[in-house]
Amino acid sequence: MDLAPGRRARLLVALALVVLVALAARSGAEVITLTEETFSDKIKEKDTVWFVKFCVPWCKHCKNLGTLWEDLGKVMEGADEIEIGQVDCGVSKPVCSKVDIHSYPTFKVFYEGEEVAKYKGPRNVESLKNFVSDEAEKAGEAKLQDS
Amino acid sequence: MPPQEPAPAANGAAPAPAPAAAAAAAGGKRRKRGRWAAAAGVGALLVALLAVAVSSRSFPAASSSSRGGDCGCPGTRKYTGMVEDCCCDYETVDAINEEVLHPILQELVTLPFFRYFKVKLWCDCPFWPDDGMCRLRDCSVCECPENEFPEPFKKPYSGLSPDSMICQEGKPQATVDRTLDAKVFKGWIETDNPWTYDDETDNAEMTYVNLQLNPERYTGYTGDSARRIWDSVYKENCPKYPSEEMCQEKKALYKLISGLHSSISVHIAYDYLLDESANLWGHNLPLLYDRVLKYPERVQNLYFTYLFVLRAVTKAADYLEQAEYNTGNPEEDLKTQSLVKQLLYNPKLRSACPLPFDEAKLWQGENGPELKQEIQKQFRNISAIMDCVGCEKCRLWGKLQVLGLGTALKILFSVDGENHLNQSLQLQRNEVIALVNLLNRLSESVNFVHEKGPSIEDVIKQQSSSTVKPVFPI
Repeated sequence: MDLAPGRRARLLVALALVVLVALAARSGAEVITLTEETFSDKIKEKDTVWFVKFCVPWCKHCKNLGTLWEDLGKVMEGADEIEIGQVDCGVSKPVCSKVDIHSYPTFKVFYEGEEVAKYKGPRNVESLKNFVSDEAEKAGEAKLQDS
Repeated sequence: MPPQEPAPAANGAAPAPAPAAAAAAAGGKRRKRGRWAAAAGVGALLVALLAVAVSSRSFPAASSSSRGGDCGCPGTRKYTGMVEDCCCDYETVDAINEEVLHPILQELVTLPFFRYFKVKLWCDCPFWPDDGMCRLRDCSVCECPENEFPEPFKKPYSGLSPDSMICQEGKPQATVDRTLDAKVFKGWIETDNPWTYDDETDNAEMTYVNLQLNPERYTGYTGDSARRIWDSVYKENCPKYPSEEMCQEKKALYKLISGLHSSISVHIAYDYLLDESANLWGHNLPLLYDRVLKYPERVQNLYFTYLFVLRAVTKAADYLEQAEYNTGNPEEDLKTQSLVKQLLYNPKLRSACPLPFDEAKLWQGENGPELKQEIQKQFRNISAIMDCVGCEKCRLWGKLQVLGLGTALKILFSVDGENHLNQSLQLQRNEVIALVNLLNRLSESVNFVHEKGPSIEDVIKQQSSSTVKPVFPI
């Protein structure tokens, strides 16, 4: 018993829509741009480690990173407790002053509203992923001890 | 001799117009405009003024021995007598710099030919992972838009090809050609400098820079990243066995690097960001003292490097005189040609300091050729380290000055000095641009040290003998 042609078409459209919505949600969630209005609240999110890149548009070392941060965002998407963020210090200068940013690029880890680490290693996805995963694990362990 | 303690800060600045107080200082005046381009009447007056200025000062004879206490007031000059391993004394260097070289060079580097520099800013560091970063916006290099770069600089070279030059070597008629051919300049070549690391003939990823828009000054590049650069540079120059006494050739290389380092530190102090929030730039004289003046050896090496580079420029006089300074700006190109001739053939310079450095004394040992190769390799490694400089503008000026020094080494040590025609000397346009800009940097540093050094030293003496701390003039 074949499905009626009309019903088959509608089913395909529905499936396509589901896929598109999923893709859109995924790409929107990869790297979150933080601003003066959102930074403080975001890094306080419960049980969430934030790994934030601080840059300015005129710095070629920042431009030279290319798609590094987006690539890291894609890789980290499956980890619910880790978020990848970025701040444009040209636009949100008070944010960068508050967390003591003096050179670009700077990569910092925040947990429950506090800075917990600053990254200084090689600038590739694997190293960055390992670093933030380790920091998230440490944060989780520290929390267990506190409770 | 231990290597100079690395300075945490990196490349300094070209001078901004001096503050009024500094401009009022005796002999400290700088005139950047109108010196050479003037109406006939004003020109005549200018010539008269120059004649008065020059005649009011006599240049010491080059053959004079150390003055010691014979002439002038004892204690007035901290640096006196012959510059070590050189053939001119400090008094002469200061005089010809102030009266002859500094004014010419200041004008020369503003002209189109010497204003644009081609550089690879984004090569990967060959020694450690990239930790480059910016602190001030000022550490970014303002790149030259394509249409601003002089058109003739972009065209493929039309001079001798490397193959053609190779074929001439060893051929019987080459000797004949050499004696008959009176022309020294044969068009700009594009053969790599054996003393430097960068592949200058590969035009991929070259950045064009207007040096006038990217002054060498304080950039905030400090800390571990900057310190590692200087640590690596000096380490490259250390002998393998610390107890071994350094031969004079390696000693010369050490002094060149130390002198370059001193010059960079002087430029940082000259144009320093005194107040970041107010964007206030000025002289940082305590820094000048702490980085350079406090260590006599660093000042001495600055003079040594200056004379070494000056010797290279004067040795290449025939080539530089005939060189083609074409940027598509006829009036300014003529001025460039004229200023270069003044630089090369100034009678006061030639009589006061005819041989700034005697390179013939080097490489005389039985292992001369091997030693030269070893030192050349060391310098190539030093030039490669420039790709590890994290601050972009520091990298620009680091690369330019190292290329300038590499060009000086090429002129003095990679060319047959016995051949009066300098037949085998061939330079790239970029090498000449780097060489002259380096000479200007060194000239500015010598000028500033000579101008400010004594008063700063006096203030330090007062400070140590008094509880009151005077404020340094800005």
